[in-house]
Formats: sequence, C-alpha cells, structure tokens
Amino acid sequence: MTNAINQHMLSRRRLMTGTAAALATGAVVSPSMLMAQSSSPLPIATTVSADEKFPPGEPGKDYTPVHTPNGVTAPFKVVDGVKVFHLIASEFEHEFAPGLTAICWGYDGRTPGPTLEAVEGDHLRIYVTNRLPAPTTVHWHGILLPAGMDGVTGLSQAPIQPGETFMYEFKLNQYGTYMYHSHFDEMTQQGLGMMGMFIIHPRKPVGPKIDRDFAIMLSEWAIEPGTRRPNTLEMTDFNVLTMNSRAFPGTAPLVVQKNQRVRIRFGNLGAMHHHPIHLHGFTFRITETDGGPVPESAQWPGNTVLVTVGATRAVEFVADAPGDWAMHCHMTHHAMNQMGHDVPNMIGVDAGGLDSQVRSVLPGYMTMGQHGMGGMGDMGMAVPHNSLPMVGMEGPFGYIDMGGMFTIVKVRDAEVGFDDPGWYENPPGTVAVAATAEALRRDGINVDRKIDGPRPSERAGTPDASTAAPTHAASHSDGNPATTPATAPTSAPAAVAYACPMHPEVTDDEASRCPKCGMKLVPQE
Amino acid sequence: MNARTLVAAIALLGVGGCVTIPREAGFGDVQQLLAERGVGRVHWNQGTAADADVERHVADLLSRPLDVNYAVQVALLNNLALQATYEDLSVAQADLVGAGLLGNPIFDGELKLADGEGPVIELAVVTDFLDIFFIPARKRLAGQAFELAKLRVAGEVMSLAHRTRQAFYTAQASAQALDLHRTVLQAAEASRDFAKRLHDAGNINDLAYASERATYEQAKLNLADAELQATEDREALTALMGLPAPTAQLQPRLPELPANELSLDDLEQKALERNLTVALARRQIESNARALGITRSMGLFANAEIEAGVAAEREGDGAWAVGPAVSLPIPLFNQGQPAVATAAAEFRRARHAYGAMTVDIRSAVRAATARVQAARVRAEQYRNVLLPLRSQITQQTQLHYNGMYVGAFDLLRAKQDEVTAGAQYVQALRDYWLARSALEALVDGWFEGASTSAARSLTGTSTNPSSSEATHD
Repeated sequence: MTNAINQHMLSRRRLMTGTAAALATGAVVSPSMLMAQSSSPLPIATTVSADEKFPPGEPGKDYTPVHTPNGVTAPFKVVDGVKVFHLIASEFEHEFAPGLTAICWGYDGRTPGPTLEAVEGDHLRIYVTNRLPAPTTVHWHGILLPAGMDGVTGLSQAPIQPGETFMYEFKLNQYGTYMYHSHFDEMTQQGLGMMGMFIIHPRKPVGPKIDRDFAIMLSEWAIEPGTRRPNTLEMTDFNVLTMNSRAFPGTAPLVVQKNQRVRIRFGNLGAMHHHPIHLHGFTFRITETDGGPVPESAQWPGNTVLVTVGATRAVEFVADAPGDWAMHCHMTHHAMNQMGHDVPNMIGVDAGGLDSQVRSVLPGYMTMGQHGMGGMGDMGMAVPHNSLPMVGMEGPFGYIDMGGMFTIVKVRDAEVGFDDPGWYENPPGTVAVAATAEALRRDGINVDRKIDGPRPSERAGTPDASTAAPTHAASHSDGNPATTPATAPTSAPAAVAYACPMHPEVTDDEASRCPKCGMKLVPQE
Repeated sequence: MNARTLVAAIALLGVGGCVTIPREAGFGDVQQLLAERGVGRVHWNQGTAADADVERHVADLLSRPLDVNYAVQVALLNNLALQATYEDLSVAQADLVGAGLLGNPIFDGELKLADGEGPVIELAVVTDFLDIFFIPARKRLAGQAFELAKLRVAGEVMSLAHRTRQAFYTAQASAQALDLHRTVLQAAEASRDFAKRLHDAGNINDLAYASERATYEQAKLNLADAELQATEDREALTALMGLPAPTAQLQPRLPELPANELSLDDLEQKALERNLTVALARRQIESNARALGITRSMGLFANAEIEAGVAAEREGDGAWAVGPAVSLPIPLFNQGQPAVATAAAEFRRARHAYGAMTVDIRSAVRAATARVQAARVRAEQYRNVLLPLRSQITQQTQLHYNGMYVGAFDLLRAKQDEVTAGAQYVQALRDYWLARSALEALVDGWFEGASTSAARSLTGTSTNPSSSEATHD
C-alpha cells in the first residue's frame, strides 16, 4: 500500500520536474505540449512547478473572475500568504423560480454554494462550519491533494459534527474546472443542494484571453408539487432540473457583448442524469474536461456538450452573432418544469361537449392537452401552491414554453454588464413571420398541396381527431395574437373576439385575462 | 202479596233500567297523556263535524314539503289503524259502565194445569245477591282496566309517532342518498365518455376502456339499488301516514345535527317515570293487587252465585203465596282457594314482569344513550373533518389537474370519493336521528324493545318488527 502511494507520488513528481524544466527554457507551456511530452502517466494541468512559491493570485490581475449566474463567488482573505475561505453548511429556503421554493441545504445560505475561485500555486485554508442537523464533510472534487484532505467521511476524515468547524488546507498544483460537495450521506446532502463550483485559474496564461467566463452547476431535484422539501429518496423521476439550482424562468441570462470570447464551465452533480447542453447560434469548442485542458488538436467542435454525472466540461466560443440565443439541456423532459408523467395521453382527443358534461359534476373542469403541452403554463389556471406546472415565461413573440435547464445567452452589440439587457430587437426582415400571399405567389407555393402518405384511420362513428377543429386554448396555433401579423394567408378573420375558456360569457377584443378566474382569453372562431 | 207488589219488586231490582255510555270514552285523558309527552294533535273520527276539520288540516299539511313533525302529525290524524285502536277505549268504557250495573234480575215462571182445578202459577224474580255488595269492587276493577286501556292507546299513538319519525328519517336519507348516487353515476359516465374519446383517439387500449366502462355499469347497478331502497323506504312512510299514494312531499335534506344534545342526565329515572309501557306495567300490578284483595275478601263466595229474590205461587185455589227466595252453594268442595291462588299468582306475575321491565328499560336507555352519543360523534366527524377533507382533496386534485400533474380520471375519481363520503355522512346523520328518536321514545313513549316475554305479554301489543330501532341499517 505504502509502496503504491510512493510510486504514484514519484511519478507525479517526475512529471512536475519535467514541466519545470520546460519552464526553465522560457518556453510557454501549452497543454498540448504537455500531452506530447508525456504520453504516460496522465498529465496534470499545470503551468508552473509545484515547488514554486507564488503570492496569492489576485482577481482582475492574475485572472479574469468567473461569473456564476444566479450565484456568488466566495470571498477570501489572505493570512500570511495563505488564502483563507470559510464555508458554513446550513439549511435555508431556496427559490428555484418565482412560485417554487423549498427547504434546501448548502453553503453560506445558498445552493450551489459560493463559487470557490483561486489560482494555481495558491495555498488554501478552507474552514467548514457545520450548522446542519447532520454531520457532514466536504470533498474537493477533482482536486489533487493529500488523502486526508479528500473529505470522504470515515475514509479520509471523521465527520464534521453539527456545531463543529473543520479546517482543510492544501496547495493547488493544477488548474481547471472542479467542484466541491458533501461526502457524508451524499444521496441526502447532494440531493438537498450541498455542492458548488471550484475554479482554479492557471498561474500563467493559457490560450486566448477569455472575456466572459461563466460557471454553471447542473443538478436535478425531486419536488412533489405543493411540497417544500426535495425528496432525496427519488432515484429516477426528477421533476425540477436546474442550472445553478434555478429552473427557467428563474435562470439569469448569460449576457455577452458581441465578439467577446466566452467560456462556459459546466459541472454536473445531479444524482442520475447526464445532460447534453445545447447552445443555439454558435459552434463552440470543448476545451476542458475535469482532467483539465483538452489539447487544442483534440478539442471537439460542436454545439452540444454532454456533461456526465460527476464531471465538468468547459466550452469556448466567440460570440459573433448578436441575439437572444437559447441554451438548454436537450433531454426534452429536462427542459420542462414540474408536470405529471402518469397522466392520460391527451393528444388528438376530441373533447367536444365533454367539458359541459364534466362541469355539471366538477365546475372547474376543462379538458386540456389535446394538442400537447404548449402554452399550458400561460393559461393562468389555478395550480397547487408552491409549484411550477409547465411554467415558462412571456417572451417578445409570445409564451416561451420552456422550463428547467434552460437559459438564454444574450449577445449585444452595445457594451453590457452582467444584468439582463431585455429582449433582443431583431433587425427588420430578420424574424420569421407568416408568409404573405405575394410571397406565396412569387415562389409558387401551393398551401393546399396534396401530401402523400396514409392518413390516420378513422374509427367508426367518431370524428377524425386530426381534422377536428381546435377547441382549446392549448392549441399550438394560438400564438400571441398581438404579434401575429394580419397578413396571415390562412383564414385569419379581421376582428377576433376573445373569450375565457372557462367562462364563455367573458369576452374581450384583445387577449386579456378573465376577471373571474384569471385565465387568458382565447380567440373564438 | 199481589201482582202489584211483584212489579214493584222488579222495578226496585232493575235500578235505572236504561244506561247511556259516553262516546268520548276517556279520549281526553289519552290526549292529556300525549300532550304531556309533546305529541301533536290527535283526533278520533266519530262522524262529527270536527272530522271534516281534521281532513282539511291534513290536506293543508300535505300541500307543503313536510318536516318530521308534520309527517308525524299527518300520521296521527290519518292512520286508520290508530282509529281502530281508539275503539279499545269504547270497549273498556263500556265494560266500566257494565261493571256499575246490577246483574239483571231473572224472572222465572211456571204454569201448571191440573184437572178440575185452576192453573197453578209459580213466579219468581231473583237477582245475584252478592252483586249489591260487589258492584263497587267490580267498578274499581273495570276502572283499572279502563285506565290500562287509556295507557295502552296512548302508547299506541306514541308508537305510531315513533315509527313514523323513524320511517321519515329513513325515507329522507334514502332520497338524499339517491341524489348522491346520481352524481356518482354522472361522474362515472363522464369518466367513461372521456375514456371513449381517449380510446377513439388511439391513446388508451381496450383494457383501460373496458375497465372504465365496467366502473360506469357498476355505478348504474348501484343507482338501481338505491332507487329501490328509496321507493321501499318511502312506501313505509306513506303507509304509516295512511296515504293511499306517495303524494306527500318531504323536505329534501335530513336536518343537520342539532347544536345541543338532549340532556342525558337522569334518563333512566325519567324513563321509569314517564315511559307508558312501564306505567302500564305499574298500573297492572295495582290492578292485580286490587283483584287479589277482592278475591280474598270474597272468600267462600268467590265463585259463588248467591241469588235472592221474590217467589210467588198461585195455588189452584187462586190464592197467592208470596215469599222470599234464596239459592246458595254449599262450600263443601271449593271454598274459594283456587280463585285466590290464581289472583295471587297473577299479582306476583305482574310484579315480576314489572321488575324485569325496569331492568330492561334501564339497559335499553343506557344503550340508546350510547347510540345517540356515538352517532353524534360519527356524524360530527364526517361533517367537521371528513367532508371538508374530501372537498379539499377534490379542490387540490383540480389544482393538480390544472397543473397536469394528474389526469381527468384522477379528478373524476376524487369527485366520486367526495360524493361517496357525502353519502356516508347522510347515513351517519340518519343514524343519529334514528338513535335520538329511539331514545326519546324510550324515555317518553312506548317501550318497543321489551325483551322478556312477561314484559311483552304485559304491554298487550305486538311490536311492529319494522318499527324497532334495532332494524335500522
């Protein structure tokens, strides 16, 4: 055992010596050089020798600070050349999005905890105070340190009992995107939010300068609608998917000025699911894994990066296209807010006449979902207290029916800070609109063109659901009447009256809300 | 003595030859007993102008939806069996009048024709000699019997009132349950129709659709059962109210639980004092005691017929011989002991029966009190806790449905569960009213639950099996 450790230490030391040698020649060390120089054992992401001493790295001078949307960066002080951090583990009320809060656990009263940020070569002392009702420890995920600082309860250290404060001390001999999380009763404590990002900047610059550096922790929660505590016993059926513990529309946008070089670092400490994060509008390069930088020659271009459980990934791109661009997990159920998955499949169901029949028993009833879930969050129906059913948000062109792991990258020509600059104003002629009759004519488009393929077979005595007129607010085609161009070639009537789907007697000229039930009025035929 | 003397003697014996019996026959006393027990108006149809008044009153009552008291009132005025019972009063009254009369004298005549002589005529008028002494005692006995009859008739009225009350609550509850069953069926029908549409759209399979259909068809059967039950319960009430057709309208909902419970103090004592069956048993002892005393005092003559009178004889020579006549038994074999023994045994029997009845009624009062209390707790639990919870569940399910956490089936099922809980509340409320009226009947009315044969024989009425409080549910 001792032998094996020694061997490992030796090999690590040998590698570092090699690096120091390279530095001594004055060459700028790039990760690809490291890779080339040592095919085995695996390289460590370093720019300086582990033996070298450096003053504590300063934000703005030694590195461009990372921005954690919806989060904060941990403060530190320097004591005798040592960076001192203090994390307090505790329980608190956390908001996932307006309308949904729950009692979570985390650090310094938040989840994810404050982003720890330091520089390669920094010497750290991190105090951890436990104000939880249970013991805890902190594991510094991916960071190379003495085994006794690794934070695994029972294996590396004794648990930090409630009320106790432990001190972790180690020197950072690597750089990259890492994480920290509880390593006591992980299922419970991570399930309640005890995690954070741990960013280590290289001592010496690596690669092109980054203008905007974002850190996003991906996690998943099981929160039954109407409850206010995540269920940490859930294994597979997670219904709140978050970026930095926020679900859209609770996620803050990533604000960028045009042509800035952007890095987005993702960490995944969810219980079970990997997340293919897809960025609209750009091709990025996957520049880091949790092992550190990917050699330039091996960097994958793409627009979706799979962030597996327990791993980190960083992507970089130049934000050369202004606009509001979606960025989200592409698992479709991960981009929805709470909903039931054990409900009848309503697609294509003809509900004509059913509502009045059911309402004689249940006055509040309305058939929903015959055309899918779109717009469901916008209907304004009363839902259980403390829940986010299908909620998205009102966008510039109508309702954005996304939720969960969804956020927006906002690229602007003008100089911007990190605050939401509002919706992008698309230049004229650059927004998809309903085709004009003139355009259809010009390009010879026959909208009544026959299409091949079998139509759904009809059941005797029942109308073909696919041709049934939409009877319902959740129809995809509703759109936002205020922004639907009047030039729509299909039978758009000049004057559309709107009525409440629940109270047909409530009508209005515009898509206002019903004074009786608060539901959005829908166009009448 | 001549013929004139004889006629005078007959006239003397036949005191007041013509007697009238009052039609009222103690009905006023019965009314008094009933009034003390808060029973509504009663009327004995005797072909007077008042009958028409009563008929109008009943018609007037029936023109509105009835509450329990009005329904009882209709039954009291309209039930023909009760009118038959009132005639018991007439019979007892007649017995009483009869008891005050001397036995009719017996005229005995013989005519003998002999050759050559005039006819020999023998005439005698005799009457039961002891009657003269026993009339007061016999009147007292008949008076006792009359009093017993009044109690019995009042008890019958109380019994009818009680049975009507029970039938009313039962019918009201069944009608209310029927409404709820209809709502359940509506929900089940909506569920089935919803399933049909899902099935038509290709979204659920034959299995799921068949299962919804089965639920609906079962609900239909349950409704049919509920309809029959409502009809039967309604007819039981209609019969008690003496109506030829179920034309009476009932108020549609059972009364809510009263805020204040009956005072449950001293109910055993009150029942012993006020229950008519117990009163009847008590009076029966007095009656038997009196009968025993009389029998004893009559002693030798208990079974004797002692006749005294006048006998006259006309001899062939035309001369009349007149003199007193007497006939009396010689108490050689029967000296009256069997009669005394019988009366004594009847007295003891009455006393034991009374004792048994007091034990029975005390138990019955305690059990009925417990039933009232338990029924109240149960109904309150439904009203205050379970129904609000069920309705909250429906509301919450609606919210969860709105959020698409649950489907329409879950929503409709929640509604059905709420309605079913409503039906269970109706049942609990009915049980409360049945228990309460049973307790009231025990304390104030007619002890239907007399369990010993002695007690049953005492009351002299057959208990109506459908009216016993043991039959509910």
